[in-house]
Amino acid sequence: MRTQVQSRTGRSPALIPAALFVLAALWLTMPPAMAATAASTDAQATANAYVVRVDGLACPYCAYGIEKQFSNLQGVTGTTVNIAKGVVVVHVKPGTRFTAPQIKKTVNDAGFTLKRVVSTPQLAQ
Amino acid sequence: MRRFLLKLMAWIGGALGALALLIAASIWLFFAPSAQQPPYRLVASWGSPGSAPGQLDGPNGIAVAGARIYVADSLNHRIEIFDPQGRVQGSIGVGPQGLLPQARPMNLNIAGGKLYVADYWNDAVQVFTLDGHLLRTLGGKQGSGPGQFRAPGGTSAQPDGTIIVTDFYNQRVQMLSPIGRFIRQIGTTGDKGYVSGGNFNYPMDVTVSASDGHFYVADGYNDRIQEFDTQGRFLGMWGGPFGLHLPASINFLGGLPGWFRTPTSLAIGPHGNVYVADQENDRVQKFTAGGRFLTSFGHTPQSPGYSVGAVAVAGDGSVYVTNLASSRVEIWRP
Repeated sequence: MRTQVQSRTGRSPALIPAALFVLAALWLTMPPAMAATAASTDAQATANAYVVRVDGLACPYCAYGIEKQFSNLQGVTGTTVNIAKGVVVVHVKPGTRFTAPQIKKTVNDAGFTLKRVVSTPQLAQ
Repeated sequence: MRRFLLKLMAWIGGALGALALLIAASIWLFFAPSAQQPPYRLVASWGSPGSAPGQLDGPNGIAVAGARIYVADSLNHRIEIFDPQGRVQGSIGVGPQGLLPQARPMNLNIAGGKLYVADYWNDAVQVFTLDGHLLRTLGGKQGSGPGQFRAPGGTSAQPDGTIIVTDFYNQRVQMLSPIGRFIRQIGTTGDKGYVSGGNFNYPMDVTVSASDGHFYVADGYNDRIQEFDTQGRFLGMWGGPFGLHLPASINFLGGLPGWFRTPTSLAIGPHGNVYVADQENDRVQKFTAGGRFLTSFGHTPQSPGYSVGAVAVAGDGSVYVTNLASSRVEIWRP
């Protein structure tokens, strides 16, 4: 195994700068919000809540902005935001239903990008 | 063929590596200034999470007048007043009077002996006496017309009473008469501006120099500070190379001295220096009035730890900082 690695490395010294180049390119093109949201998927689903993942959350202004935007939707009883994880939990009255475009628009209007809807009241029950 | 491609990739990789090193060296040499002063040290703090008197939930603003420290207790819809020892002196309710007490006071500023409050939730600006009596409410209905706001983040006033508001979601700064009449705006309503001065990407706070009426704007997601004269004419900006907004993908450089990662709050000290709450770097940075970096201080960055919410400076030079993560108020001194 060791020989194999040495042999491969010996034949292809160009792979080192090439790999560095690729890594640097990946790093430079990675959206900063990804760092905050990439690692975590442990959103808490509740019986009467929509749980959504959002890109771009960075500070309390973001959290309050998205909370405020969701508060304009009928049936919303409260919103909790985890900035570090990029997770928004929208608590709703029983029977309240939103469409995917409705959620996407609400997130967009707050200045962010919807990554995905993690769970809906139906799925959580 | 394969060897040729590998060689070509090596050349490209090598050239790009050399270029990256050259850029890094240039940035370090020309755009990472050394501190001119020693950092401040933490001398006292108080507070805990909660909603009881003296407790805080989301302290996103702070202002100091004499021996009174005003703290925007955002999620408790109020402003709490403390003395420098952290004893509660009173509180001020924010939001529509007599209605559901839903408000979100953000940055606070004191100008001309009055307390200026940006109510992010109600799209309003409220002006209080320092004893907490409401003098005036401006706005109050979300909009993008003249004199309307969409989630204001900060507000203050010039020596002649002209009110300046950072209109967060409208991507502009508005200048209003003392009774709220629209005078002018800086920036284009609803359009984020990234490079040139006089444009904003979610402006968060404003502070006014009491000596000449110049004002500074924390241009939050452009990671820079902009300076304007009394008429709102752009004078200069700083934060990274020439204050130009860098693509978010290379914001990892924002931790360098004099650079920012989401400046959320501003204050001017007794000698005219500008203090910036550099939130995602968990630090406060101090600059001359012209933007020359002097020093920085704060807790160890925790990418981010939200240990810095807002900043204010007392007459004796003590710097008051709200710690969002621990719901505390901290006093830092040289």
